[in-house]
Amino acid sequence: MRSRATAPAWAVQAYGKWRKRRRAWLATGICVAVAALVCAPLLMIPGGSLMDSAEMRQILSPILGEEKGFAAWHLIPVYPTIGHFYRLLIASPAFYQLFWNTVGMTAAILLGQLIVGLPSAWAFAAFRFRGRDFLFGIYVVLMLLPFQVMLLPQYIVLQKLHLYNHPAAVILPAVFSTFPVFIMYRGFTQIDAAILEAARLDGAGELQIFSYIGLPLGKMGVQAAMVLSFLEYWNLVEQPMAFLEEQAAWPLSLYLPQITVSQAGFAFAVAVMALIPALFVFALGQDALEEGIAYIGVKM
Amino acid sequence: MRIKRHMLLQLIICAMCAALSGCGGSQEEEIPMGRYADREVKLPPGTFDYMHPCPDGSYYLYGLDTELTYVDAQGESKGKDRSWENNANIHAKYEVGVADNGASVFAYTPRFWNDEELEALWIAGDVRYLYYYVDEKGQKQALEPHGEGYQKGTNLNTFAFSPEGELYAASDHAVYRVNVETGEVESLFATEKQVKSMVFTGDVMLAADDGKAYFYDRAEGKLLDGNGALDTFLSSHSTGGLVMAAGDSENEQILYMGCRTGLYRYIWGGSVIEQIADGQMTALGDTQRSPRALQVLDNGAFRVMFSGNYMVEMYYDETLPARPAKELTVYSLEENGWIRYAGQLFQKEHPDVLVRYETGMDGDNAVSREDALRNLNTRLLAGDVPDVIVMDRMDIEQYADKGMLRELDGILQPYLDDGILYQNIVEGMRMTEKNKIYSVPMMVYLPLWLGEKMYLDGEDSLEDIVAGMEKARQKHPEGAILYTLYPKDVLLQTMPVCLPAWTGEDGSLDVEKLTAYYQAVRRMWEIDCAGFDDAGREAWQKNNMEWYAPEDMDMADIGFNFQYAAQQNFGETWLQLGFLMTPQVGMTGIHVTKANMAADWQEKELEDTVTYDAYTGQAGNVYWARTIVGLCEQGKEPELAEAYMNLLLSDPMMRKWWLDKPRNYSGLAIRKDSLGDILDIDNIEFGQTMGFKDPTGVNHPNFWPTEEEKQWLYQMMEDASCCYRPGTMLEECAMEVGVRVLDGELTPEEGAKEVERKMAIAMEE
Amino acid sequence: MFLLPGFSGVMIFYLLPFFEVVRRSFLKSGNGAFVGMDNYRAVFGNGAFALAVRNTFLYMAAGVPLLMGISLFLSLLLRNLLQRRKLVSALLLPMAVPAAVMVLTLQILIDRQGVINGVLTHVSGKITALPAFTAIDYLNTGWALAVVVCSFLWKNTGYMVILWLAGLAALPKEVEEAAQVDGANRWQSWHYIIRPGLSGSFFTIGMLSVLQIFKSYREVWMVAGSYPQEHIYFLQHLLQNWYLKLEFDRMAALTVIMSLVLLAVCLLLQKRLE
Repeated sequence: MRSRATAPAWAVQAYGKWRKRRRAWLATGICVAVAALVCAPLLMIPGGSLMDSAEMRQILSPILGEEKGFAAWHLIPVYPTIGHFYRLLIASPAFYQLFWNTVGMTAAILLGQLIVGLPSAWAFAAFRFRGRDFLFGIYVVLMLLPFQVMLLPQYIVLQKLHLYNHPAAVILPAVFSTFPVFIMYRGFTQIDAAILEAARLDGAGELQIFSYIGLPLGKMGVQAAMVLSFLEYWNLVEQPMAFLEEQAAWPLSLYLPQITVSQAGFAFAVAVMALIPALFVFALGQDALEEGIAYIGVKM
Repeated sequence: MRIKRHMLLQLIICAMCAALSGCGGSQEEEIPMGRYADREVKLPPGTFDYMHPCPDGSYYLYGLDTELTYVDAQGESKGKDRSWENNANIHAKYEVGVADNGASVFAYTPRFWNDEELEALWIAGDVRYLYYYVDEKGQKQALEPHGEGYQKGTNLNTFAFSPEGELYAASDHAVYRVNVETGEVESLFATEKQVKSMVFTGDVMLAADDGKAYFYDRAEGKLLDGNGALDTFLSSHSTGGLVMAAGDSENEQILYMGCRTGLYRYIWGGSVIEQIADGQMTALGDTQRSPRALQVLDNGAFRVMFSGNYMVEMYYDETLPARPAKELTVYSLEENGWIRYAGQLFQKEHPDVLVRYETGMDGDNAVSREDALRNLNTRLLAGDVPDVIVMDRMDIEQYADKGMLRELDGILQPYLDDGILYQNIVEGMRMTEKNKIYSVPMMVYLPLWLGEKMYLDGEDSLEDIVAGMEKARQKHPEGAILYTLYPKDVLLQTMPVCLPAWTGEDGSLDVEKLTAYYQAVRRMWEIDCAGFDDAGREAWQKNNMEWYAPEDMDMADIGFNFQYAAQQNFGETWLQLGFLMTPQVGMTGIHVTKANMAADWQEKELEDTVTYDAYTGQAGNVYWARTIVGLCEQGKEPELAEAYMNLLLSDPMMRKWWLDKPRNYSGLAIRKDSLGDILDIDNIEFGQTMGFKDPTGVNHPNFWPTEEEKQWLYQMMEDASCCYRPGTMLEECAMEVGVRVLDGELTPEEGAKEVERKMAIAMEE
Repeated sequence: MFLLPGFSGVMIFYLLPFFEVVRRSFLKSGNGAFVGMDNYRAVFGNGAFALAVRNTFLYMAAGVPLLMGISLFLSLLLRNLLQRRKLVSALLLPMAVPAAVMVLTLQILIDRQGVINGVLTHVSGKITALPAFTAIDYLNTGWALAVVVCSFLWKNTGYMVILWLAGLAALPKEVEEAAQVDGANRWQSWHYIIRPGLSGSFFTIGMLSVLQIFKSYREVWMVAGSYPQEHIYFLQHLLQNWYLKLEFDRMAALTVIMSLVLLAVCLLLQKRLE
């Protein structure tokens, strides 16, 4: 009998490698395509920020109901101008103030959430206490409640605390938001209960368990929570609008004028300025955060 | 580690305690006495915009078109002090600087240029100044700046003379010293922005732009270190103008600064800027004016010159409480100059009251009307209620129903009994369900059409306008009939007089009327479009663009507000729909428009006389309520609110405001005597400013309303009984759908159905 | 002990206000008289309420599974890629755009005379084989809900990818590798290893998708106004409009109803999935 021909071992290996690589390429291809699709509409923003109002008006006039036909869009403006950036960065000192307000507010909120949210999330994940599920359910519901309904009662509380029209009126409720707790909790639940038991039996204090076992394992959850919180609070609109009367204390997101065509270019310029730090945070923040958490975990 | 946990807890608890106790406990202390108050300074005849203070308490007044007038320390003036120019070559003056001895320098553009380079720039639309220097004796000479560090054609926008008589000037990027004799310019230091003011103390000159203060040592010739506190102050207080003056007391150099938020004191070299007078309680807070100059007087008082020929003296009054014991809060959705003015007047009459005027939205940020209303409702529901609400663009019935508004029948009765107010207009605000009045419009607009008589002699209803347009179209096959650039304009001009007719007694929508409306406006738009091809309309839109700022102005605002707007389209269109917005100027505007339409130089033939009349639309006798004021039921100061309402309804308020600002569109006063007074005044100066020149250079005198016209206007006021209030949900909806109807996307029937569907959801809620 | 500081804040800023809402749901707005269950009756008897519940439910039924599916698929692809960071950041970008500009961009694209219709018209004009294209008024026709769902997906995919990746990262790698060595194919390793390991994440991400649905309201409102096309009239339109009409009583009642439903769903899912 003839034995069945088998491919030489090197060929099998090569084929396997090729398949693997092809898969990787395919996966990358799909992801890049989706990412491109997602970012495509955003390409309008840099172009728009450099477009002068007359051109903007001309290409958008169909949308305003002033002309038949369809709106066009120039990805690269025909008559580029830096007028909007000039107005934003040089002619209006308010921009910087609002920009730093946003930075300060977001930083304070994220820090606060970390301090307050981490232990809470840990508590839900590591301890079984009575009413835990119910309490957690309440946390989830509180997270889901639309802001409109909490507006009035929160306003009353803030008035009572004399916090109305103070940056803390925005920061404190955000710090105690149940949202980061919910996300960090998810990270912690991945930890095997047996490990915790073993640690407890070995006489580790709760804080030790938290910092040596919890933090390192839950860091992806913490990271996710921070990134998402950043996105949330970087563009916060409704809370500052409702709780801060003093315009000097407003974040950048409220600086955007009511969008009219003559303001559109300016609005795009503001968007660019709001996007740049976000990009920055995405690029650096993820790494820094990961390392930071690992560091905290070692130190405590 | 244990410690850490406790620390964390303690930290949080401490933070909370701090937050809780932070602002409490300042309610019941006694208010100290003494604060700055102000009184108006009577100025010599002329229209002045600027002032130059002299160290001895005297000052010079001037304006860009008014010559220098000296007022001595006692307030005496001999009239015009010095003539600046009899130089026919001056086209327009831009900036002026005056020295203590009366020498002055100004920047201007000439009627004809001798300099080709600058002329080319001028033609390209870039304004470059020329300069003139007038010495203290009145000797004039052209000043031609030149020198190292000065590029030809750089505009010098700010001038200041030092006490020694040296001239300093600033462009948008540098500060210079200028030799007035030779024109030699020495660049001293660069700046980030245009320096707006320069102040001298000893050897140091302080130059300030909108965000930075520069200290320049004139003796050493070098720039000193900046001051962070001043920089911060400048960047946050420059809106609306900021004025500075140096003063000194007991070896301390002091800088005074005045701006909208108040008068401030800064001790040279320090880091503290202290408020010595609150803008809210003085003329500085007036958003209608900007401060232009500040003078420090020996007796501790100040003079502040404002734009618009207005000067006050601020003096320290020890008999006044440092801050008013009571507060009256006035709220409006959008800034309303009339209401702000009333607040200032009220405060003057009640020195113990602070009028806090709050606006929900100011246009330049992301706060929409809904957001503003939501914030207001939050306050109302939480019991933190303003005393007075201006209800423009708000749903009055909703607020009345929920018990938020106080019924005004009691307050208004005396006015109605004595026939002071137009009863029909007040009655038009009666809410049908409870049969009470909750708010009063202080001003109204009346709808008008204007055009050739041959087109319109019917009942002035919507159908009549359509018929008139058809006639006009036959006569004039080309061009526009109405002054409408875009579909939305037709809706804006017609909806106010039709909208009130669409809702029945029970609040339901009258679909038939709405369909008829859509049919009519669609026909109007078609007729109007028939005179153009697409390119023609586009060209016409472009031509008219400069008159038309679609985002700032409703098209319904055109027409009869003042001559300027009425002139813009005479002879190009044959019918005008619009609103009469100010009494005298409005009537004058009608005259001017008529005259223009009939005048020969337009090269248009008019076969019949031009005429005007009320425009009734679908609803008939509509008035457009403006500045609608209501009082809050749970307001904290009900008596003050009542007094405020009485002030609003008083003759001085209704009349004076209008006379101060003849060109605003605030509306026709609902007080009969005030309206009559305004129509009766015979102010020559006022008349002169309202005359106009036609393109051939012939000066036309102003037309005053005749007795007959006055009677016609009074009659229209008497007849107006149907209230139109903008900003209702129905209007928004009908407008949005209407544009789609005019675009041909929906038929009028479909449009009306669409509105009905949307309204059904709203009704269900 | 760990929970205490966090909980005290939640108490002050969320629970107390919520109790106030509950209290006010039994009172009449305006004069504050006690009216018992009247407000609840008013809510249930309201035609707009039925419409809003239906639409919100449809929106969730379409948006949540789609979002979760797409983002899970993407994160499975992404998790082993080297360029992961950059791609995730790209997906997250729409989130970082201020709402006002986001809305402006949308308007330029989907207006009846907007860019998308323009492109489609142009393309169908060029290629004669295609039937002639008539411009669609996306926001004023049956397309409205689809548009809202699409923009919801556009904005939130990156958000959910981050969460899935966090969940995936916590799965023990060794088990999967061992399975692969044992010859498990992709489907098997998904079915037996990844999916069970992610069950908790399903709950979290499902809940967050619902949260994002609620948060998308402001954009819908900015594009389409307080009274949009009837398919995109959601519960929050109703809440907002009531608030503007000072009907806080009904609003509070609706909130209480919503919270009870959400709590029930939440507890149920939590039991099932954990």
